[in-house]
Amino acid sequence: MNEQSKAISNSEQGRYLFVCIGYDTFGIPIESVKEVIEHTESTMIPMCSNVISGVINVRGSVIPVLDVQARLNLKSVTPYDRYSCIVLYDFYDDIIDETMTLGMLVNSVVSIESITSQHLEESPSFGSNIPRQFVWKMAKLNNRLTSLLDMAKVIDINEINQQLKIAQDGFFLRHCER
Amino acid sequence: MTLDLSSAISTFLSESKELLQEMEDGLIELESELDEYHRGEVINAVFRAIHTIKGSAGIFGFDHVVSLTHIVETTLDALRLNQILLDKDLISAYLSSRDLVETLVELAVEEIEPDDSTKIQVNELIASLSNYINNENEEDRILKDQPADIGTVESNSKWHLFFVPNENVLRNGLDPFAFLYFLSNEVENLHIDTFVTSLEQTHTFDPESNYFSFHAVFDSDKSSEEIAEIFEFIQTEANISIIPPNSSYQDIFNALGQFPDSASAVSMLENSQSLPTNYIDSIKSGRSELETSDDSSPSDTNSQPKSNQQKIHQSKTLRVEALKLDRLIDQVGEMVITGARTNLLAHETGNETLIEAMSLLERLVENIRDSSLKLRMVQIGETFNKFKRVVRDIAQELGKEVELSIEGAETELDKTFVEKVSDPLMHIVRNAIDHGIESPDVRKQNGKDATGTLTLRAYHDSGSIVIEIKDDGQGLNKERILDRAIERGIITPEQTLADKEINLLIFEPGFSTAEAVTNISGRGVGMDVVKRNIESLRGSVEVESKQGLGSSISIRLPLTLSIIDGFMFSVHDANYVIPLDTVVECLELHEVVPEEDIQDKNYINLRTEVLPFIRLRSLFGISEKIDHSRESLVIVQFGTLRAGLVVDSLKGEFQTVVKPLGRLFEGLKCISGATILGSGNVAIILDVSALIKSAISVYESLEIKQ
Repeated sequence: MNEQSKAISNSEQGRYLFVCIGYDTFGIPIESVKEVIEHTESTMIPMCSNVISGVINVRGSVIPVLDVQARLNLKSVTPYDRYSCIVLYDFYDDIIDETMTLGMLVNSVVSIESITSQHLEESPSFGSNIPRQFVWKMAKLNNRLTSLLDMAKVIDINEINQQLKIAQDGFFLRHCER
Repeated sequence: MTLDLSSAISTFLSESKELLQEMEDGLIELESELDEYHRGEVINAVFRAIHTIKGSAGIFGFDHVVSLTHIVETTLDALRLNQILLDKDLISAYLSSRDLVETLVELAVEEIEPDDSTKIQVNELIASLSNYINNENEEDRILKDQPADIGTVESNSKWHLFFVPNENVLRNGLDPFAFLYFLSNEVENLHIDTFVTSLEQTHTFDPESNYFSFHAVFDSDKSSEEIAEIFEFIQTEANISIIPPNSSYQDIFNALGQFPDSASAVSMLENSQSLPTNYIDSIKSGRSELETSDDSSPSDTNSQPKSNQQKIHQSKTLRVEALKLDRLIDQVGEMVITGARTNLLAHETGNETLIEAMSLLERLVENIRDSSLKLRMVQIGETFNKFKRVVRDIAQELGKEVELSIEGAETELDKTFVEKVSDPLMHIVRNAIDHGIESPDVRKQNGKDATGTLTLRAYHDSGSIVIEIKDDGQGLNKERILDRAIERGIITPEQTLADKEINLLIFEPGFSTAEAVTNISGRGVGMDVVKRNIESLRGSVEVESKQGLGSSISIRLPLTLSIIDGFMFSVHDANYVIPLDTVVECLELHEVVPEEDIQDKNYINLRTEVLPFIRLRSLFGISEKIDHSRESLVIVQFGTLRAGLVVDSLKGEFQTVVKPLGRLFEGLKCISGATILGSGNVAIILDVSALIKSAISVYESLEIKQ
């Protein structure tokens, strides 16, 4: 995904899907967005960290859905409503050598914007409400600053997987201690 | 080359591998005592295998393969005729040739010239095999003394002409002999073989009919067109095939097909010595292949029981691309899901006839599912048989005497498992021979038979497949394992472990008690890989060992990966599926135990048996409680482990198409996948055994802390 971001910066233009996560707007590179579907009810995975909001059935495939608010570690949680969407994001997993699809649950979809290198700003060195690693660059558009997400970091499978394992161990421990 | 041979060559490669495996099986079988008839059969099978490889390699011009297979074939032929004796050395030589042929075939297919050391090996083998027949066959010896010549296929420098006038040729006033006479004036060194057909039924003999056909061999510098002109007038009344010098045997073989009685034609050709022997051989083998695929020639089967046997074998299997099969199973999976949905809708309408028709359809879908899953099932025997060679080689290298006994070779399991289980098995077998089975002297001292026995056994057990590797060696040395585990820091000296746990230490990474690292095992890599591989297939490994008497390792694998019979229940409005065959029984919880009895403990007394249980609501962290009278108990069994799961409600059997959850959930032990319900919702498939085992290990670690 880093390469993809680089490709965008090299061609000096890229299209981004702007979505609302919590109260803030974030940009996701649109090349890898397969589709946006309505927020259907998802099946909870038992003994799972809240980073994964569940799994959904998309035309016969079972797709995990990432709760982006939880993933970005937002302090206040905005409840999902009828404007909430699931962004299906395709990415290449080089360990299994296959393309995977992951759903990202966002509060709402805002717009699609073209971003050129003139719009880009460095992310603030401190003061952001999300961990700095998740932000690739800031886009200055219509006098507003929007964080462009570094998708490779946000959907780091190994890291999320690790998080899930720890959560699962926690469930067992709590159950057995009782 | 204008022809695209790549697909033909890849077929050649896979066919050769299969044939070489057949050859190896045969050779290993020859090592054991066999009666005369059986022995002959096996030698014939080995001969056929190598012969076919030689023939095909000849077509592609893989000279190195041809030269090696030729000598193997020649000696095997001598063996068939009892001209030489089969001893252990000869079998070893054959086995090495088999390996070398495999290497050569692989190299040839990739168009790589074999390196010098391979060439030397080939020459050594050719030389040693030649020794066997040196005294027997003068002609062959000369051939062997000129290694340069062996590489090239014997060439066929003459013209061949097949002239088959039809029955009415004489009635129509044409004389076939006139044409042959004309031919004799036009060409040199003419040799004609005459074939007479259909004369056995004398009462139907018609003096005006023609019963003759001819095969002519000659030298000529004319073109095929010029020769064809000789026969111009009889063209309409006869089949004529003109084969220029240096054509492949295939052309001759095709031409032979015109003869009314091609079997006798072949034997005549053979006797006439007008063709090089390898052509005759190829034609004969080609012919038998033709017969086996041709059901309309029953009259020939009596005279050729060998090819008849081959026919039975061939009709038994069908080669299908694995991808096609996977696609079929995917589609069947989709059908099962859609079927479930349709069934649900049918029930909603309340239309009796529709529901009835739907249930019939469901049953058919179930049958289709079962049969298509069976397509992927293969017998494990083939995998086991490969170990005959492995065991033989390792035992010989270590100076041990080991006999391999195979049980349950007909047990079937999923093809994907067969491939993935083969490596772990190899590690275990190597370890068993290296560490388990003692040397013959030690065995005798301990009052055992000098020959150790290694048993590979496969069987079905409550919905899973068990593969057992058992040896009658020295067993695991518990003290040594413990010492080594402490030394390597795998456990602390204070830890007390049950026997079962001690045995499982051998699967820890970096663990090895072997004093010396040998070629075969002892590096401490392997057994941990074994465990990991098996676990990635949702299987498990168990070790049992009795010191001095031997040890046994059992690998337990689920039957299939893709579609299972599931059992569904719900917890807090979410549906969960577990494999049906792990479920022993289901009960209403309040019927077996009053609520106050299980306030603070997690076991019940079920028919005087202690049954620990896990309340899934509590495990899943759902604080909200439901009424005790509504809870149900699902009793599951896995191996020797029996436990209960307390759930909200039971939903019953459910055909489950397992959808993988991907790498995101990898290593989450309790969740083995997901499935799509008729309603379109997703249900999670729980791995019960991992769930219970995790709970046990957490309980145990909590106890140790206290």
